[in-house]
Formats: sequence, C-alpha cells, structure tokens
Amino acid sequence: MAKNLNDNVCKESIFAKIYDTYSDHIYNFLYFKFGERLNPEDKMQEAFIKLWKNCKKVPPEKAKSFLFTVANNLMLNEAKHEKVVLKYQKQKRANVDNQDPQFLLEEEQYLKKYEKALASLTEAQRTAFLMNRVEGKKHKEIAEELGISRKAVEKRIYSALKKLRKDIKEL
Amino acid sequence: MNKEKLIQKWLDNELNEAEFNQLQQLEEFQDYKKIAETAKQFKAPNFDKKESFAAIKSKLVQPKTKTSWTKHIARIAAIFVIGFATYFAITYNSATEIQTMAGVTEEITLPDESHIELNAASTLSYNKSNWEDKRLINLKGEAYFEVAKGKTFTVETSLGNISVLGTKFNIRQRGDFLEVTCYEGLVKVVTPFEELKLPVGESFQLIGKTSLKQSISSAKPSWLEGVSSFRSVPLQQVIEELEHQYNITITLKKLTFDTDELFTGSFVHNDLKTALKSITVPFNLTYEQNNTTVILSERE
Repeated sequence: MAKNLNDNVCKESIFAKIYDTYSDHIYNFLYFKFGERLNPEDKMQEAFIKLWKNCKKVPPEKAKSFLFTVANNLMLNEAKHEKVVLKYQKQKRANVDNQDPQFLLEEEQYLKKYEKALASLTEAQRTAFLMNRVEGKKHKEIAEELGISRKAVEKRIYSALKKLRKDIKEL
Repeated sequence: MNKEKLIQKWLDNELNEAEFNQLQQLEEFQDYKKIAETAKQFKAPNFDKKESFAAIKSKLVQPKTKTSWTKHIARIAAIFVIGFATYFAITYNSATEIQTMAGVTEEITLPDESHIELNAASTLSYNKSNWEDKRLINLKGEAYFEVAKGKTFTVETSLGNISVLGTKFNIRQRGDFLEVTCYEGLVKVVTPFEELKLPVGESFQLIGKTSLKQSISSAKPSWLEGVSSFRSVPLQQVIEELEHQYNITITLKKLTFDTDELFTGSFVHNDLKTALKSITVPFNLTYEQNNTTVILSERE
C-alpha cells in the first residue's frame, strides 16, 4: 500500500475499506476465542467503533493490530473461566445419495467427540489452531495478529493438534 | 527433520514433496490429517457484513476536528459557563413571590414576556429557574393573564388548575369562590369536581361545589379599568372584594337575608361612597363609615 499522508482512518472511505478487509478476521478471532455466547458480532462492531473514536491516533497500517488488541480486551472482562463450546456445522456433500447410514453415524460421533476435545483445549491453543485451520492463515500472520512470536504460534497449534488426537481417541 | 518440525511445516503449508512423503510415513498422520480437515467444520456462523456495518455507522459520532486554540477558547468559555451557572443558580433558584396590598394592583412581566395584572390583596408565585420547562404559577386572589405562546401555562389555585397554551384570561379566587373568564383562545379548567374547556367569551364560576357557566361581552376584565364587575356573584364575595380594593373592614348588622344572595353589578375603585352605594342600594341597605370600618345594615 502506497503511503499517503492524507490517508486517515477518520476518512469514511478508508474506514469502510478497513472494515471490509478486517471485519471477518476480527469476527472469527472473537468466535474462536470466546465462542458464540458473548456475541462476537456485537464485539466486532464495538472494536470498529473504538477504532473510529481513535481514528486520529491510529494510522491505517496499524488499524489491524489495533482492532485485534481492542477485540481481545473487550471480551476479557466478561469471558473469564467460561468453558467455550464451539458447534460444528454439518457439511454439505456433493454426492449425498452415496452415504451409508453407518458412515453417517460414525461421522456424527466423531464430530461430537471433536467438539468436546476442542472445548477442552486452552483458549490460546484453540484460537491459534482454528485461525490456521479454518481461516487458512499462515503462522506468521497469526503471530502478528495475536502479538506473539511465530515460535509461540507454532507451539500452540502443534500442541492443539496433539491434544485433539489424544482426546478424540480417549473419548 | 524431526517429527514436530515436519508437522508444523505441514500445518503452515510449507512442505516440499520430499518432506510430504516423509510425513506420510508417520503412523499418526492419518489422524492428524482428519483432525486438520474436520476443523473446517468449526468455522464461525455467518454474519451479515453489510448489516453489521450499517449498525456500526449508526453509532459513529463524527470525530472532532478541534485545533488547540479552539480548545483554549472552549476552556475559557467553560469557566464563563460555570460562572454564569453559579450566578443563575443563586439568583433564580428560589421561587419568586409577588404580593399586592389591599387597594393596589401590580403589573408583572414573566421571563417569556407573558403579562400578568395582579389585582389587590392577591399573591402570585412562580419559579424563574425552570420557567422555560415548566410554566407554572401559583395564585391566591385575582389576576388577569396575557400568556405568550409556548408550552402549557398552568395556574394553580386552591380550588383548581387552569391551563392554557397562550391566551388571555382572568382568574378570581377568593375563599371558596373561583371564577375563570376567557378573553382569547381556549382555557382548560380542572377542579376537583370537573374538567372543562372554556372558549372565548365564556366565564366559569365555582362556588363551593356548584359551578356555573356564563357568557361575557367585554374584551378585558373591568377591574383593569378600575371597576369590579360581578355577574350572579354571592354578596359575601362582593363585600370581600370591596374590602380588598379599599382596604376597609366591613361588618354586617342585623341582616334578614343570607349573604349568599347573588349580586350583579359593579363598583368603582376610586370612590368609596359611590362604590358603597352601588352595593347597598340594590339590597336595600344603608352604610355607616368610621375611618376604615364600614357597617352595613338594613334600612329601617
């Protein structure tokens, strides 16, 4: 992005562009971290409103990390010690006719186990893992967004994977 | 390359072909592959991006583009505002009360340019500080109002409330007698017994529990011109009004009729003898005056 001194988050067009680019990221992050109970959409909106209020202090290139920091802090007070259960979504398959009931049942059981295992991950593990797996983000990107080192991200994701495997097997 | 490094690289989508072949040799890889794939089913529920943006926009306040010198002016202005606020709080917070002595009337102009004529021996009070929000007057006695247009204007008396939006009217409240006359616009009268709207040229009377509506022809109450007029008003009220206007005490002696008898007529404010005659002749009475005391008695 070419630097333009006139570019300012207070400009509505810039603000709209930032929203367009990052609203999904913030929303997903909030969902992975805190689940649905605390309404990630509302909190995402709050983060953008806060960005607008601070639009003079935050240059456009810093908007993303500002949003992540705010989104993270917004929920901190409310989400302490609550177990977060994320619900799986049924996948639509192209060849619906060919699924035998036995397979479907096993699939369903697997997903239920997965759901439980996911809920018992730490918040940090779950968030990094799903940002990588669901959003397809690179480790480096996640590290920037969470404000931690790439090493830490790798560790979190790998430990999440190992723990999921172990828990699903045991359940 | 160790196992951990290999898996991490795989998760970051950085493996080359040789490394990928190596990874597939791992016994746990099939599990990992399934876990990594299944994770996609835990994506966040969809939200309406456009609707959400509209919600944000509705809550945005335009950021202030103040420069530092305007901030200074704002600060100085704030000091003045606080100063004035304190001044007004001290000056205006208490209720304003205006009282007229017997025989004296007074003109009052309210903060909103409404105009009041307060008749003799009457008391009026109101609160200046919140006048704009609440135009409320408390009245004991008689007054004529010319109310500026605006919010509801209410006059409280011990016998009922009279409210208007902007009009001309007269209220006389003495003892258990209430009379409201409307000279312009529409007046709402609320007494403990009834509620009614009084149009132009009508007069409402309440004596005890009995009310009466009459039409009038004058454009202003006559007392403003120095004459007290009555239409079907109990004698007692008329006598009291005479006392108020001349600052005298009237005693009644040996009356064979009730002072509830109604009187229609008027008396002037600038000549006691004429005034006394105006009242005594219709009732076949005589009077005796001794300084500020007047004794009325029936003719022999």
